[in-house]
Amino acid sequence: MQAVIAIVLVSLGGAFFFAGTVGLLRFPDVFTRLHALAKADNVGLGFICLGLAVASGSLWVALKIFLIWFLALFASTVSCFLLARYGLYSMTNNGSKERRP
Amino acid sequence: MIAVGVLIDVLLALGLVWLGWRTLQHPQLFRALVFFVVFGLVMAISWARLHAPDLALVEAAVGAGLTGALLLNTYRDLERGHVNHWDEVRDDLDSYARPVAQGFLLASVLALLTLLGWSLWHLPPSDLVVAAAVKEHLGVSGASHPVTAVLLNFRGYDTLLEIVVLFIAIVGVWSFHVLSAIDDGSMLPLDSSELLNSLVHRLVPLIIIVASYLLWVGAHGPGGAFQAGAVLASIGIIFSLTGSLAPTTQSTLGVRFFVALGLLVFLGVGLTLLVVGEGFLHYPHELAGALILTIELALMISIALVLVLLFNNAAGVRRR
Repeated sequence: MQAVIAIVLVSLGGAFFFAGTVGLLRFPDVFTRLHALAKADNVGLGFICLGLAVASGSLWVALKIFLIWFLALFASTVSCFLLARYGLYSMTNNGSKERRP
Repeated sequence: MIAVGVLIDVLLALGLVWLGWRTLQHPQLFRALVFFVVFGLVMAISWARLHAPDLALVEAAVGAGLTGALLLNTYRDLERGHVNHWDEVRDDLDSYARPVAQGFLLASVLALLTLLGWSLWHLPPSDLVVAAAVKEHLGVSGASHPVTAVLLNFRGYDTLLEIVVLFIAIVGVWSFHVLSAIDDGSMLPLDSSELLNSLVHRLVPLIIIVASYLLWVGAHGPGGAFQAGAVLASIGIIFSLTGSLAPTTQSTLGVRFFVALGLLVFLGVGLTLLVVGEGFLHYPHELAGALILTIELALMISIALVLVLLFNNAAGVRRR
């Protein structure tokens, strides 16, 4: 039962990663791509961590796994913000409305 | 489940070869760098699959992380024209050196592969003699983890020479130092970001804890001075990138002391043991654990400092 729940959760996470990757490849500009990546990666990683925590069966290991997720959330938020700001900065500095990929 | 494991291994092996090929052959420098970083990550996963978490940690921290950051930093300098002559070098490579270099590379790789294949072929059918010897003497090594025992006790010379290589590298950088190549560190409009500062302020204490943990755990689990040093160095790199640390052209006495510390302590311990009649780097059993931890601590500090200095292409760093 535990293994089944873990597999379902990890697969769900994988699906989010897949969607995020498709978004990264298919979306037209830096902002929509970041949107796809940040959402999908955070939720996807969350599901994978949840699945691995269930699979580990140990509270201590689960806490460590969630610390990793928390750090990844924190880092991806800030780097997403920085990338978006740099995207905006280079757009306005080039004087063109064209959104650069 | 075994089939899935084999499938993953085959994918990793093929992926490594493909990524290595793309890294070397990609015409665009930036994409080649990205391929290199991905190669490092896949390599780290491969080490983990081979039950070598020590190497996986080193590969992830040094191979993918630090070297990736170093290469990207260099790429930025190339793009900004801080480093001149790149075009000439590239043209030279394109015109005549490239076929020669490629031929040489190919010949070397083939020779190495032949040698490796030959030695693999001639290995005794059960190559557990060394592993058994390590296991047998683990008790007297002062470390309970086989890798640490081999690296710092049974094969201490290798680790000593590695830190010598790192020392020579930074001395070499200092010797070739070009003043104009020093970057002022003002890369992107990063300076005024509250969000970035809050991330840095929360990450740095955690990084210190992780580095200390890796150093301490090295005695009985995967970890050690190189991993801890690389993790510790990431603090310096974060501060350099966010503009809190600025490179200087003059190194202070303190910087020089800490750069040499790892080598000094390692050599000092080795020579002291030689003088008292134990033999060079031949740790007495009861002191082995303490000596190894002391050496690893000094190594970690020197490794971290040298990596930060190499990243900055600087003789020293100061607060800004």
